Amino acid sequence: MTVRNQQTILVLPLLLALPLLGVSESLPAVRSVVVVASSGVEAHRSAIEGIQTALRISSSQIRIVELAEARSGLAAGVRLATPGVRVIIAVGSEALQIVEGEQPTVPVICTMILRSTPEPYPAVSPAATISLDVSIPSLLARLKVLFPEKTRLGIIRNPALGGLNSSPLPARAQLQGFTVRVVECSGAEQLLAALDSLQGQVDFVWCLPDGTLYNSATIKPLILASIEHRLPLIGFSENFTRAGAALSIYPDFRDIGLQTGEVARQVLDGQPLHAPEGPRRLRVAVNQSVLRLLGLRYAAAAAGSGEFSILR
Amino acid sequence: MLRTNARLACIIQGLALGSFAILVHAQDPVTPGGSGPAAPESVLFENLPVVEVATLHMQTLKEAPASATVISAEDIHNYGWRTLGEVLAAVRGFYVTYDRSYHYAGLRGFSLPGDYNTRFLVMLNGHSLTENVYGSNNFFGQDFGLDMDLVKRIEIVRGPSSALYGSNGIFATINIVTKSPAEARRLRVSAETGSFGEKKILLASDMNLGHGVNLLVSTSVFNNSGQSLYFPEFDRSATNFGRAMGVDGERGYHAFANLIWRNWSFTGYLGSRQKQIPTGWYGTIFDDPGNQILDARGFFEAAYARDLSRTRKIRWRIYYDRYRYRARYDYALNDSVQDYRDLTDGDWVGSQAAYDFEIPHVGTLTVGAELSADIRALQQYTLVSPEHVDVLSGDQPDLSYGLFAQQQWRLSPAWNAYLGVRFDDSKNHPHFVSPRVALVYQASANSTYKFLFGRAFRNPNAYETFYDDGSSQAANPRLIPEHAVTYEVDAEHRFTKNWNGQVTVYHYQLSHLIEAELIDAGRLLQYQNGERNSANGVEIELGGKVFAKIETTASVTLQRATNSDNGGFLTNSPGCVAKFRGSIPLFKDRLRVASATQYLSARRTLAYAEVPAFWLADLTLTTHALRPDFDIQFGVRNLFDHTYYDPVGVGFIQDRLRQDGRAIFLKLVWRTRE
Repeated sequence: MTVRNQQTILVLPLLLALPLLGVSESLPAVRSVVVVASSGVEAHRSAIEGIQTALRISSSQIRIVELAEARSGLAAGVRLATPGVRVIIAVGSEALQIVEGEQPTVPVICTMILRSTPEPYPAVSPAATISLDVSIPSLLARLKVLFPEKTRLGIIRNPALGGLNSSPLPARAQLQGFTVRVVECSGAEQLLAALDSLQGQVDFVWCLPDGTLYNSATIKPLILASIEHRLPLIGFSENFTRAGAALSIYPDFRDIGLQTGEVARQVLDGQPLHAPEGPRRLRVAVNQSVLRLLGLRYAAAAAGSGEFSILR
Repeated sequence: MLRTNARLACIIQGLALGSFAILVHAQDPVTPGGSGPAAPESVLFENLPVVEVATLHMQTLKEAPASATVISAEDIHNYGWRTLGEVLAAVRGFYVTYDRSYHYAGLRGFSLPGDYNTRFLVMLNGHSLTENVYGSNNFFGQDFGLDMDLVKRIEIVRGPSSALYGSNGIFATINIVTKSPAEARRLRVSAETGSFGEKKILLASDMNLGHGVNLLVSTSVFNNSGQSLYFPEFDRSATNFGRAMGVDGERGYHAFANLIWRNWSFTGYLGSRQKQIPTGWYGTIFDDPGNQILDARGFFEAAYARDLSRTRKIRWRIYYDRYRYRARYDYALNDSVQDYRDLTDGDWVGSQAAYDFEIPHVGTLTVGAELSADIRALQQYTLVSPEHVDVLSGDQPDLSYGLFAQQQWRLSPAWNAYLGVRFDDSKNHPHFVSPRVALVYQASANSTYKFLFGRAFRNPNAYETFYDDGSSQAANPRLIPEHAVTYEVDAEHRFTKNWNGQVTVYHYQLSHLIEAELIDAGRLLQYQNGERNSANGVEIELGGKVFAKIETTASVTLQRATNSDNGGFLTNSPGCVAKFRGSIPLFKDRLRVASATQYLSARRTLAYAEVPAFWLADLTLTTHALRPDFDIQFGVRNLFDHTYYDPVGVGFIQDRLRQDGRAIFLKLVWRTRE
């Protein structure tokens, strides 16, 4: 066989395959689920991973759209709900705003948002919402396991916000064997006074997620005051614990993704949906140094669970 | 010629640094700006500044308006630094010399041979370690009674600090902040061995005693057999042909305890180090194992710190300190040996209080007072063999106090002024006023400029003032404090999230410098206020991360420290000091490879000769959680086995001493699991 013949044998199959490659490009897989999120946020990445796991469908059937891409697409009139799309998942409130702007005709699932915001629900009501808000019963259950002898909880909340912040909780209540005291604080300038007012009256102070109250400018005086006044803080993130809160109880973001994926599965299967959901699985991070400074010990049995982590 | 070459080398390194900075600046992507207000839920994902609650009791210099460097525990661990001297040798502008008795730190071109580190202030959690007899801070080798494993960070503030701390803080203030008992590992054991017979074992433990009471206890022992050394100046049959065999040993212990409870912190510190002297200094018998020194330093302190409100803070401490020095000098007398002993006992008590409060629309005002009373400042010199003769015995305790104030003044959102002044007076010395002015201009979020002026002083110590043995040294009660006037401009810029740079230009003027002079036809030494000296220099530093993982810091210092009267360069004063260090995580950060290099240009010796320029490289390999409870560290010092010398002071027959060649060490660390 000549060299020329050998080349022909090699090239011919490739030439034959070219149209096939072209066909496959012109016929993309039908993407029935669109997820709008910011992959720059680690928590969003965890949630997306959970969504993909729960949906149990080929990755080619899910389209992940970056926030920036979705925003520019919206401006250019490019729709997220292209033909074949059966559900849109908005991860975070920014994503929800963008999706809302499109007025999609397909169901929208909203996840990884706080209900405790001034405008928790947009004009287009999502088919389902999975929020990040930790409920009082869930928090008290965790506290009971961690510190069985502590039964007094203080809550600092901002009445300007929704969710738990504006729920009809009296200034003093008995819940699950706990005495709960609520202090309202509508601005950062009132934060230390709010904390001071709980001195000697509670065993822990729960700080609800609120960027106007808890930020890089307010965190240092708050932490110092909590140590000075022996008022252990319960934060809302691992970073809050690292900064100096005694502990934090916060959602497991991957599990929120799993939860969201399961709801999306229900939409795809045409099943009825439930009311807005909160996180099923919570994580607990304790700051060992702060606990030791405050003379607190958590129950050793609580540390065995997978949701528990110790930070120094 | 040497100086020309050294300067050329420095300029090349400076240019390399500059090019590197430009390269890094060009490569690092610009962080995109935000596109509007953050989503409400983003508060759950955001980083918040870590508040060091566990070290609230510790006084910190981190926010001092000056040119500062902070060395973290992670740096110490990664680079395998085992003494304070090793740390300083890697810090911008510092250089460390060794005369086989003590390590001496130099900065801004000043490290005069014979100065027992009296122009630095070394503090442990804000407690001054300056002792009351020699005014020394000989804590740069194993004579520092705290193991580096216990250090949380080292804060190095260049420039005068007399406006806050009084005497001795002329060139720099070094504050060592220890790990808090609330954050230390429960139990930690380490063992290390190395070249020249180095052996050390450390045991540290922390205990949560409940009710907020936490205790950290640490102790270590070391025993280094030392080297066999060759000194050509003694190469005669009568002196073992210059060989000093088995007379370089060092041994001792370190003990540290810290108990914290609420606003209280109780600290106990005790360290002792005995060192044989192989150099035949001060005319002692060469190669004689009897020549040795012992330094023991300790203190007990109770400290109270409380934030009375957001703007008011009070700190108070009360302490007892002690210092012991024992030395044996063997002198030849015909065919017999004269055994002389130095005995120094220093004991003192003191208290310090400071109150910070906010003056509305102006800024924070700090006012404070300090009182220190010597119980003893005893110096004895005795011939014990072949007969007993008390050559010297004198106890001149001092009583001193200081009053200080510092006002922060917010002139505008961009400008801050810090005005400080301290008045010191004592029974044995005249009073002194130390002012300090710092103007800080925050040009942008990334650029800061500092304009600093200060006046610092050092009181003559009891040894310089009163030691008089009639045969080698004469007292000088007429000594007055030496002082320095300093001007400094510091520019700091953050190029990107990961890269920052710093340039400092300074001018020092020292007057009435206390130095040993030969009197009585060269028969006696006497400390006298002498010459005026000055130093001018520029320091450039660039630090950051390459590929967001490889940590690097490079610096170069160009300086000229001279005698103002004759214009000559000072002894042991390099014209150029350059540093580079970097550490790389490998195997998913299971192994950390770190290397530190330093370059020192030629230095003048007391004999008006020069020791040549040199550069040194160190390499350290450290495992990170090799097993959850076990790690190994291996290090090489003077990796390329370069031969180099350090100038030495009066009392030596030679003007320089050859330093150690390549040395290795191995450290094993075991700790309890979380």
